[in-house]
Amino acid sequence: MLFFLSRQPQRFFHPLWVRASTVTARSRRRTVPAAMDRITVTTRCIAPLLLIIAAVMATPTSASARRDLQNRLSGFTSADAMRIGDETPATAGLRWANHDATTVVASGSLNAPRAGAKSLVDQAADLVPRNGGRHRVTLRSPSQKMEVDLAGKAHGGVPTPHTKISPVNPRAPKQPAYNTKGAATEASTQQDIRTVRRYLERTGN
Amino acid sequence: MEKDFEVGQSNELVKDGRVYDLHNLYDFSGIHIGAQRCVRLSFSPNPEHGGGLRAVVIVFHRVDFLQVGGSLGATDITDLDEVGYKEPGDEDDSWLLDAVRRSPQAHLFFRLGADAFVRIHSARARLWELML
Repeated sequence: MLFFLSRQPQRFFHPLWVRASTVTARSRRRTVPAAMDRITVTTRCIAPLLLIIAAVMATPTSASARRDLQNRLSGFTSADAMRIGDETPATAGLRWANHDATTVVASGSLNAPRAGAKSLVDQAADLVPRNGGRHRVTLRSPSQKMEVDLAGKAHGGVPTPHTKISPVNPRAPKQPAYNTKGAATEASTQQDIRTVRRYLERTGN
Repeated sequence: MEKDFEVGQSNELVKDGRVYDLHNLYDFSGIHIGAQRCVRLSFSPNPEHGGGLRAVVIVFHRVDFLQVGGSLGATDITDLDEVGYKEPGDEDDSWLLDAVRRSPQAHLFFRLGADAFVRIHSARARLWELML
């Protein structure tokens, strides 16, 4: 369609469109203005394109959101989970995280809760009883440690739920060790909470 | 170090199955260094999130190593960032050991806010919940 538009623009934007001649529409067997018929055809062709462009511009899955998600999950790959050898509850949760990430990016609902959905604060608080009353969930992979505080005090000016991701320290004598000092605490995303929920479900909580 | 509690996740101490979430529910309230190698670390329930909890004191008896660093005592500090272990001689505190990987000689390491910390080892340690 785009190729056709670029090669033959005169067929779609010809000045004769505004001429009030009449022709017989063979398919409908009735007389209609020629310009109206062409406008109808053109609208049917271009309208879907405009809708697609508008949807892409309006979707919250922007480049920054995608980059954020990729940064969050860059260490939690299926490959990492497989390298561990035996599947621990944590790695099971991380594999779910990957599955979930794909779904979220495709649907374009990274952080924004749907209308009528619970807030992140409420969603996280609901997970505390399922976590045995503990306010923190810790997930580890060979490359990162992810600590999610579901409820409790704010830290670094970031209220709960918040997430701290610490990179592995490969030079530490006892592995795995993670550089937790200086790791930034950030507000948890919908994906973080979903990952925790899946992890708790996988571990029977 | 013989103690009646253990480090759970890096935010908590666990005693007799009970979890004390010092990071999320408590405020660091002070350190007391006694004359006879006795050190006390105190935590009080956070007014907003620690409702119904009692203050906690960790008492270290016969202390043989104590290091206090950062701006502790010179800055208002109420947060505990994390707790873990460091092996003797390892001065790199960018990472901490968990309870599984530490040796019996490992120091307990309390990382507080504003880069302050308390690093300690003693013959015996007890966690008390104050009944006030």
